[in-house]
Amino acid sequence: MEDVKIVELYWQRDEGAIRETDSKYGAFCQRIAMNILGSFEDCEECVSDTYGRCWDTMPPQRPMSLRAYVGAIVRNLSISRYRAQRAQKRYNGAEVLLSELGDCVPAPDSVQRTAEVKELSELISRWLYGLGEESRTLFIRRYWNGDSVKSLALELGMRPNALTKRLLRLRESLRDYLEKEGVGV
Amino acid sequence: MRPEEKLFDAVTGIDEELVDSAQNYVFRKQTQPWQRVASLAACLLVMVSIGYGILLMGGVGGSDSASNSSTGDTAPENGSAGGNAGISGDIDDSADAGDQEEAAETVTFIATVLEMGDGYLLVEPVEEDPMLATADWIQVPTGDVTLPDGVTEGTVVRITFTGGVMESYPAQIADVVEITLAGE
Repeated sequence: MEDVKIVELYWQRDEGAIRETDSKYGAFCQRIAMNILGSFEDCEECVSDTYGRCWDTMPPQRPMSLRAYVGAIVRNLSISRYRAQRAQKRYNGAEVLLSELGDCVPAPDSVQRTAEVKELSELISRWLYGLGEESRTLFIRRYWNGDSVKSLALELGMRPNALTKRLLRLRESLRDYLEKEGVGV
Repeated sequence: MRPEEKLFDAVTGIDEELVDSAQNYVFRKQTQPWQRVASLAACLLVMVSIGYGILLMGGVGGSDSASNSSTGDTAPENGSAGGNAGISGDIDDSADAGDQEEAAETVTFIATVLEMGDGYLLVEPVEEDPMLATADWIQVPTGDVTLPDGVTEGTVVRITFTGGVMESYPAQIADVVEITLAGE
């Protein structure tokens, strides 16, 4: 089913939308979650939560690309889960305390942080548009999808070492671009 | 939030269009230089084997014709004297052709300058240039050529060289003949 029709199902509050999303993008979401979490159980939960988030956000959202939209949701949920797990495991609970205290930080900080991240996203997008298609795809597949260097090297017909160097150059190029734009991360 | 986490979050928010096109893109497999050499060697081996086989058959055919008159009609073609003469003629011809083609082959490619070092340029062949299949980054010595005015990082240049591409990372070329601006 086309993305537009699936989105329409969400807008009509038809639960078939979730089935269609799962059938079309389930494997894609699972791969992203697995690349970040490395646990099948966590990955399943994240993907399931992703459909819930889609249900809650459409409407009002009407994404142009459903794949990018569900991908971004599963990525955000996976990162949140990863951070929560890390907080529970480390420093005898110190990170849990810090995380809880984080709730006390005044709102403007989080608003400012969101704005900063958004600005950074726009700059990264602009930098990506300036790259060749192959380099751009490589960066996105590695750092957005989280695909392994080995699998990407196989697709490209390159040695993993050579690809690692290529990725390093891309990262350096991004750092130079961000520095030129006066952005401190 | 650590800086890398902030960057990680920012990558999540890149344009949907970029994400979508990256999922649809199919990488063009890059052939390693050693793979080309291996293919060439394999072809050469097959050709030599066939040639050797023909020679051998010619010899056998000659002896067959001597012992068996029923194969006599094919004997003049495959007979040792005629066959050898033909083959040696072919070899001579190809050797002559080889001598004529021994002149150095010049290769030209178009690339973007990534870095300007002391005595070299680091370049990346542009997307549509076949050189990209050989190497993504190439170190070009500039000691023997004059760089055109206005070459900086990001400039697209046309590089002409003779000789091979050294299998290293980045790849290296030698005997650079000329470097000009791609627009010229």
